[in-house]
Amino acid sequence: MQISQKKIFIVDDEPDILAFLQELLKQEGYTVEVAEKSGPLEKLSKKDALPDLILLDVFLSGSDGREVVRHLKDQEKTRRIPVIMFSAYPGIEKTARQAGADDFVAKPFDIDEVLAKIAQCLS
Amino acid sequence: MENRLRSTYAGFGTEIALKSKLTSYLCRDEEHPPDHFVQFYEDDEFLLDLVSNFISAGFARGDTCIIVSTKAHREGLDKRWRAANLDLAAFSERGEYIWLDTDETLAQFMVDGLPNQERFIEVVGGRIALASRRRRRVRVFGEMVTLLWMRGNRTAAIRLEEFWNTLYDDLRSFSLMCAYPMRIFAGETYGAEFLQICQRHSHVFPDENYTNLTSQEERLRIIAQLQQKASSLEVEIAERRAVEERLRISENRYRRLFEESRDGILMVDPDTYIILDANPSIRELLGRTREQLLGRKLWQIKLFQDHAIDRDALRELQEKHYICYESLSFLSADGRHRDVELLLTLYPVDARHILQCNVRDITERRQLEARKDEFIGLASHELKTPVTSLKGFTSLLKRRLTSQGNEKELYFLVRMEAQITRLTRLINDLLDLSRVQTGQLVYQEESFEMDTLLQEVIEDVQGTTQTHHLSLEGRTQAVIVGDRDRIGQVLINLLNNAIKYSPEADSIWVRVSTNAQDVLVSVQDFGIGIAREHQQKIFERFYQVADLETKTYPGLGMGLYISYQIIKRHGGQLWAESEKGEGTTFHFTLPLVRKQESKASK
Repeated sequence: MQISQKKIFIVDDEPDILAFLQELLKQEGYTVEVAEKSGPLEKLSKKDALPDLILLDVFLSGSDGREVVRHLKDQEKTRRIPVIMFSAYPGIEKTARQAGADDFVAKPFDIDEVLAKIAQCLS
Repeated sequence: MENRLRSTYAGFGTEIALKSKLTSYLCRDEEHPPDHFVQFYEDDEFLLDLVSNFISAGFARGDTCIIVSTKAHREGLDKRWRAANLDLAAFSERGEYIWLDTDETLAQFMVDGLPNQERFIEVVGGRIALASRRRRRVRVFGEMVTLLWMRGNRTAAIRLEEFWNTLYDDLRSFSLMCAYPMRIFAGETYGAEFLQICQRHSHVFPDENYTNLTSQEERLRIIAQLQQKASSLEVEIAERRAVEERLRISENRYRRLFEESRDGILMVDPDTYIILDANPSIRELLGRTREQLLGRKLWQIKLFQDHAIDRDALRELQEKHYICYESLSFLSADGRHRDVELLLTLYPVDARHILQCNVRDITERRQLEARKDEFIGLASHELKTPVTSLKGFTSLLKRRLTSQGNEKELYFLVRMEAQITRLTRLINDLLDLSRVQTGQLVYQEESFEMDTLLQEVIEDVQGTTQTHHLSLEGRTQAVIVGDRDRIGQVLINLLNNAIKYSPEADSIWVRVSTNAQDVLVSVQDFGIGIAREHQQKIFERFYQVADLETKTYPGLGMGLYISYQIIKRHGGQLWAESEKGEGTTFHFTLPLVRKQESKASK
């Protein structure tokens, strides 16, 4: 499959969510990397291999996903990586998009919806 | 004494007769002539006639006559004697007639506003003693007491009456006539003092209303009438006192309601918007004294100057008589930010209207609400996180079972998924409920096609039911501006209700049409229906139709309330038409923006 080469980085502080997303996306043929904290994302610009897309929870233990997006969109190296944010908090979509998120999915999300948005962002 | 009085009264006939009888009484030549008597009167002319006769008879008997009167009364008496051709000068020359001015005489024995007994004896007693030399009788008409009384010095008047009595006991050579106008005792408070005046006289004569009567029968009748009047007056006074007391208590109670209220209250004249009264709470809230508020216009105090309570709003008030502003904020006297709720009520008081402004400080309530919202946000996050995992793993399993063709397990999983969807909806409803209440439900503004939304939603809901067939009738090409997801939420809610409340039926109709202003969407089921008495209440928060039939239907009673609020917020209406047992049709309207010309124009 064409998309099999695409690499997705998922950050969520809920291990179960990471688990099923990882499984699901692998089934769809993506390469998946996961983290429970935003640390690895912040150091992304120093790395050589960049992900093709980032899935990022808004509220992480210890940091605000919106700050992370702002940081990523500030860096020349990472600014073009599409970021899809998600959150169970109501009404957060607006500020997430303002921070630079390319798309948003409300938790609890529908898997098909997530897959559709990923496909859209990667196309 | 009793006998004498009785004979006197018995003898009174006509006014003339009265005067002559009274005169004959006053002139009577007996061992103990009347010593100190009082005549009450209403009309000066009546008094002057009596005094004139009393003194004339004295002249006829060879008594010495002393008059202590006002100048006006002296002139009245002079006129009468001139008419009777009485040679006053001759009497005066012989020392048989002495006139003294009241004020001048009083001035000679009054000390610090009270009569001085020694001086009285010296001034008045001396003259009478002199006049009664050689065993002559003396007649005195005096109105010094009357003058003192009329000037409000009643203690002095009563004391002077006592001095006269003492003087009489010493000399026993004169008759003294006092006279009081009855009107100066008009008043309940004079009762006790009037009694004292009467007690200080040996004889009391009522005013002309009584003494003018011609027969004894008439007098008895009038006494009976007076007694009746007196007792009814007493009752009336008691009643009035009770009413006054009740009024006082009531006034006090309502005054306290105003004064002690924790709500700030302003009373305003609705025609001029001038502040008429301000209770302590509003004074504290605004940091202004009563004087700084009263007489000012409503716009001049800072609570109103920055806000939307303008003249238009007050005009609206004139029509509706009631306006409530749920949240206004301003800086209080000490510079703190305060949230207030403002209630304006217009109501009639007597012939005018009063505008009452109740201002309630809701700052703390607002803070609590903010905390509650925070909590609900957190709670919904906490609830949704496990649901997200459940949903994710269920989807994974579903995919796996689908690929394995495991129909039986797949069926269980589909049921699980439906329950998760239901749980998600409940969590969202709870959250929406809180937001609707605090007016914080966020609405997106976008234009969308109604037809497409209807098709999508019907397709989705159809996917969740195997029992009902959902049909859409009508195409409108209507374009709506609003929150597409929220309108979709209303439709889902109505369709789910239609399915839930028509367990015996198998079809649901959705109809859509437009008129010039609105698009109308109707959702019809053929279920249990809603009794008339519930048809409006179902849109209230937490309202559940509770009867035996509907008890078996689950739900929290939030869906229709939220739907109603969403439609209302979009400028539309939501209502139900139903007959019990015949099914229900829910209708909602939304303002039509335009009809789409063609697909390409989008």
